[in-house]
Amino acid sequence: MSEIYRFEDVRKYYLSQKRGLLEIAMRTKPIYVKALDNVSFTLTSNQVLAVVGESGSGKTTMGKIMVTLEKPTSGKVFFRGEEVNKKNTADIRENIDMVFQNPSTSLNPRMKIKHIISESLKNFDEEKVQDIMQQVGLPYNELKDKQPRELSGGQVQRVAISKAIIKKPELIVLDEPTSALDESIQAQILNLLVDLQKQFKLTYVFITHNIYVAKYIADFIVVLYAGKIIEYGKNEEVLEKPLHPYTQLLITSIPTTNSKELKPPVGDVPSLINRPEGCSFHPRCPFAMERCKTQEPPLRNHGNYLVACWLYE
Amino acid sequence: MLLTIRNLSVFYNTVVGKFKVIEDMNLDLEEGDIISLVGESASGKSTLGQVLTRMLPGTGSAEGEVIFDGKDVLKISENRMTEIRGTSIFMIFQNPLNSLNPVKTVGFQLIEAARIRRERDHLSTDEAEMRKEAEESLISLRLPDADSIMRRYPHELSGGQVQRVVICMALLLKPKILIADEPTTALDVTIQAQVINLLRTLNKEMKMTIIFITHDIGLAYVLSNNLVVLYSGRIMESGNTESIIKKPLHPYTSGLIGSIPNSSKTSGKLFSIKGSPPSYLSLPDGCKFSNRCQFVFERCMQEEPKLLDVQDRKVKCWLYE
Repeated sequence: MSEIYRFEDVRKYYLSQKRGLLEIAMRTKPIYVKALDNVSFTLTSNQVLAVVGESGSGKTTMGKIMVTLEKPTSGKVFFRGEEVNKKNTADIRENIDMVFQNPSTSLNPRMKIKHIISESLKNFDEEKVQDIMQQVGLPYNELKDKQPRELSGGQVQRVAISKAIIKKPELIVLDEPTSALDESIQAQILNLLVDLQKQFKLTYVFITHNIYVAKYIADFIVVLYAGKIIEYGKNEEVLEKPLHPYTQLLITSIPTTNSKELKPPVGDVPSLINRPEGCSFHPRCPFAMERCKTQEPPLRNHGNYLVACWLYE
Repeated sequence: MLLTIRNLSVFYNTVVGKFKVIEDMNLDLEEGDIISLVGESASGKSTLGQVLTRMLPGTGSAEGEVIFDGKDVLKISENRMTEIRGTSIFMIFQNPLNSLNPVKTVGFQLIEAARIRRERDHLSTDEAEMRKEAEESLISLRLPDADSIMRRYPHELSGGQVQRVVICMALLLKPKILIADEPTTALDVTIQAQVINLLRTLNKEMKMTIIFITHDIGLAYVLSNNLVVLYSGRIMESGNTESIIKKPLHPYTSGLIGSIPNSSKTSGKLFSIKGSPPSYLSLPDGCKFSNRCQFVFERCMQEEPKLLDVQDRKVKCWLYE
């Protein structure tokens, strides 16, 4: 178990409006969307880390920074102890791969399946492609010359997964890989991912909004809210006994076949431009105190957890 | 009986031929009921919603009877149908932004809804009165600051707010049946839970009948008291939600329930249905689920099972004959 990825105070701000000459001449203040704010964590190898949160919580931004598709505005990221910079980006991309949410839009529609899978190998290696397709449960002879549109949703996602693992990368970032799929297909893909992870000793960063998918696949869980980590811990612990009020309410908002009650938090996700002062969850929090409105809670150790909440001081 | 569907079949004309996407469907709906239609993509759930509001695309055609309030929805004139839409049958779509006019304010559209109902009920259409009514229903949906929301355009609201505005329209129109076609798929889980709780109160307080179309069996369990499981345009299992979820009879239903991740990977593999849903171009002979079923036997491949009465529900499977 060695460290594979580390985030140190990573921020990612996007400009909410294009800044042209006029804006610069008028000296209007730029408006930023704070997609990620002060995110620090360490990922060790051969683990599955699930990143959970609502839309706009910064999950995908985090994944994009990991695969070097985006550069952080400030802060440092380290891959295997080495700081990520312009020079080693190409090298890092050899060892990291990403699977996107909608497989049919992330694969070239005019390429044959066998070429899509072998694309990252630089030259076509039939044996390897055949081998990897068998691993993910795709019939090679039947599908090799087809195009993505001829395949079903589950099959296309399998192609995207085999494309990602063919180089045997150390880390795979999976951005909502099952949310475009039907439930029966989702179960097949999750089983496949778990098998592959064990077999090739892969490290996954699994981005999802579905807590039950996270519960099934993850070893560790990060809960993001409005661009900040609010809770981090072992899968069983965070989901069985969540500490942060947001995690608690998130879990009780999910419909299951065990209970007929849903207890969602009130209100909406905060705007990332004008984040509420203090703790960004306080307008929706049932336990909000005076202090939460003015002071922002830091992410601190509490037992085996890391939690950002004044309740656990 | 508020709604009775008898021998309903729906066809689509395409360049390669005519497909039957719903076959021989029978369904009864009591007033004040919440019924869920559950199925994977292309199982015919949305088509059924479109038939009830007669909004099938041009290439579609329906046969059979859909009796609503003593009238056959499939046979009445288009003018009569326009009167039914909105005030009698109201439909909420998956993406709420597409169902509101982007260049009119929310208030304008809500007042329009209120006017339509008042005109049909032959009540006064006083502008101030209608505005007040719209505002009150927005407040009853726990949308704070109703006045400012009325003045805004749909794109200025968040997804959950827009969906609540659409539901508010349903409140103003007071339909007998509310068809909700995946109303929460575009929303976050916390907002989804708020919308579901809202639909539940609507049903309880206004005795609104709800047809809830979803692919999420957990959601169907939370909301509805009756459940219909669809596969390839056929009812596979229908009956009381509680008993179906706790003890599914049809292999497809139990497969769907079993494939919801509920435990951790350490406690073993997830149950999954093999293969993927068939295309309407090449449906298997006999039972349409036969090529994915784990209990399949000779007869399933040759003969399509009938919808049998088993215990407290209906099941389309040879295992229960």
